[in-house]
Amino acid sequence: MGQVLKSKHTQLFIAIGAAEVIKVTRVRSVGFPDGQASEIDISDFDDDWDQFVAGRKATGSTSIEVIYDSVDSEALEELHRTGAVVNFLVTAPASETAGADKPAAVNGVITPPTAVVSKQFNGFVQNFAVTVADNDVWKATMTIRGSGAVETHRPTP
Amino acid sequence: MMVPLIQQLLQGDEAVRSLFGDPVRVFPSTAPQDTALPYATWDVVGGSPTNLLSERPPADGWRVRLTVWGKSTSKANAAAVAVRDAVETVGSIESYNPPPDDDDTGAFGISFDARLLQLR
Repeated sequence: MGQVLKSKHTQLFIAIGAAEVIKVTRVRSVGFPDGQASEIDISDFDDDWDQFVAGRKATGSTSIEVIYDSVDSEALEELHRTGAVVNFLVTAPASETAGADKPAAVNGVITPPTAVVSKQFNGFVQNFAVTVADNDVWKATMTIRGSGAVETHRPTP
Repeated sequence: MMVPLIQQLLQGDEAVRSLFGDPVRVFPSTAPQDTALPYATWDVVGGSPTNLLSERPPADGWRVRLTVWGKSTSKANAAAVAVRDAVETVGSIESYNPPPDDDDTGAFGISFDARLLQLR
């Protein structure tokens, strides 16, 4: 059996340039674009029951909730402004007390760490909605429209 | 800080000091025997930090129950208004509560809950 992954010290990185990676700070929750497969009906007149095979998978969206930061949120708002498709990487914790080290990027693609589980996908910031509620901190929900598959990288044995 | 900022908030408020003395007669949980009126007590009744995935929380939220005691309805009300106004400069009032039991002291009590958010 493998390990159960705790959410504490899960981190989100975004490649905002060919070789520039930022760690998204003050993350409250993170998700991944889902991939609902379409269905292809292969039934014929002789079948008593419908028959299907899986078709193309529709890349979905996901939401990431952060506490708005007067400085760090600027990069995320800039991604929303430009609509650029960028590479995202979510890393599992490196230990009980620490997250994974900040990875590097090559040609805008983040190099996943080999020591922890990570999930990687491309997408663009479809929405960046800031909410201000009574007696609370400013929060923002970033909607990421996925493009392509979510890849899972497992630690090197 | 693991104690909400209510004590220092009320101590720092001039209107509260004018009614509750200096240092203010504001106490966690219970007041000492024979404390002069008006006075106030407070208890933490809820709250949580603003938790994050990979960093320490940047803020703590508290729900604090305040009970203000006065010799009469009007004196308790004036004292409670001063406390309320001080709280509302940095937080908000979450609820007004049923009058507390005076334990046959004859004092009049006003109870309300405040929400306070403290950045770390």
